[in-house]
Amino acid sequence: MFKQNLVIDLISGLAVGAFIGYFLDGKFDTSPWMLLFCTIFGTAGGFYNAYKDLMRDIKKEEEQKK
Amino acid sequence: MSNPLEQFKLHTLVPVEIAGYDLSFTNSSAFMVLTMFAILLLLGLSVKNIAGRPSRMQAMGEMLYELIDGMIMGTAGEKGKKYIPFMFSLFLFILTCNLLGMIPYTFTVTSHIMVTFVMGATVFVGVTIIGFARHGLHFFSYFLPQGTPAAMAPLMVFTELFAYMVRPVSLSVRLAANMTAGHIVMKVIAGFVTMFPLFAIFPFALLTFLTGFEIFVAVLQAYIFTILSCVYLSDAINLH
Repeated sequence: MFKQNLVIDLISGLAVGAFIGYFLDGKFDTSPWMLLFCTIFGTAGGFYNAYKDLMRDIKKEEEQKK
Repeated sequence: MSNPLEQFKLHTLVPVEIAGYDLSFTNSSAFMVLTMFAILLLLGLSVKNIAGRPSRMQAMGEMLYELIDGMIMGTAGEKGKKYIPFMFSLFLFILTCNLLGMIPYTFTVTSHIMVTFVMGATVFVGVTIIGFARHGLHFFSYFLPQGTPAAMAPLMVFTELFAYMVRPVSLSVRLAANMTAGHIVMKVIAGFVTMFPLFAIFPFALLTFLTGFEIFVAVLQAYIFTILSCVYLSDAINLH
């Protein structure tokens, strides 16, 4: 189907990771490590989401072809 | 050429202020009310004279129900059956809001990220609460998939946690971005029609195709929102 969901998953993963990292930096004064840490894990989470969505799309297309 | 962003402006129709908060009735609220009446009209007509041999409207209502039923059965399974009313309402609301926005001079409710974020956050919070209510603290075992080696466990947990928290944002931003981008592109190309009086037929033809494409995107985005909500629900109920 439409693959633009995957791009939005990646981008929002990065954005949410950066946002949470920035917010936690403000609370615990551990800048810039929290921002870095959370951005990296947020991006990883976004990639993980995109991978899951892609696998689900491929499985759906295979089921429809049968 | 008019400003393409002008169409997303909120106009206050009935100013209402409660306890210092601005809860005015805007054109966004007016279109949500219109959406609700459109859905009630559609569903009311479909259940009007229920017969064993269904009329066309009744068949359409039944097809809509079977669509949502198929979505829930395909993802959550039998345990998800009691959430069909919620998914049905969600799907019909987003679909009707998107499609009403395709009519010229109307306002697209779902193009505002506030609206879509509330819907996405409702699904996210609701699904998390359902997961905790059903599984208790065992719900946290969702974040550690089976078969991960012990060395990678902290990494996996963090990644899973972030992926879980990213989901409402991606759900809501997807819908808002698709609607906003589609409408802006349509407005810009429509501006081209009046700017070039000699070659006006080319942007106009493109605008025709684009309108058809936007209707497809409207229906598709409603479907994607609902099916992803069903997937998150099944994740919480079945814990993978």
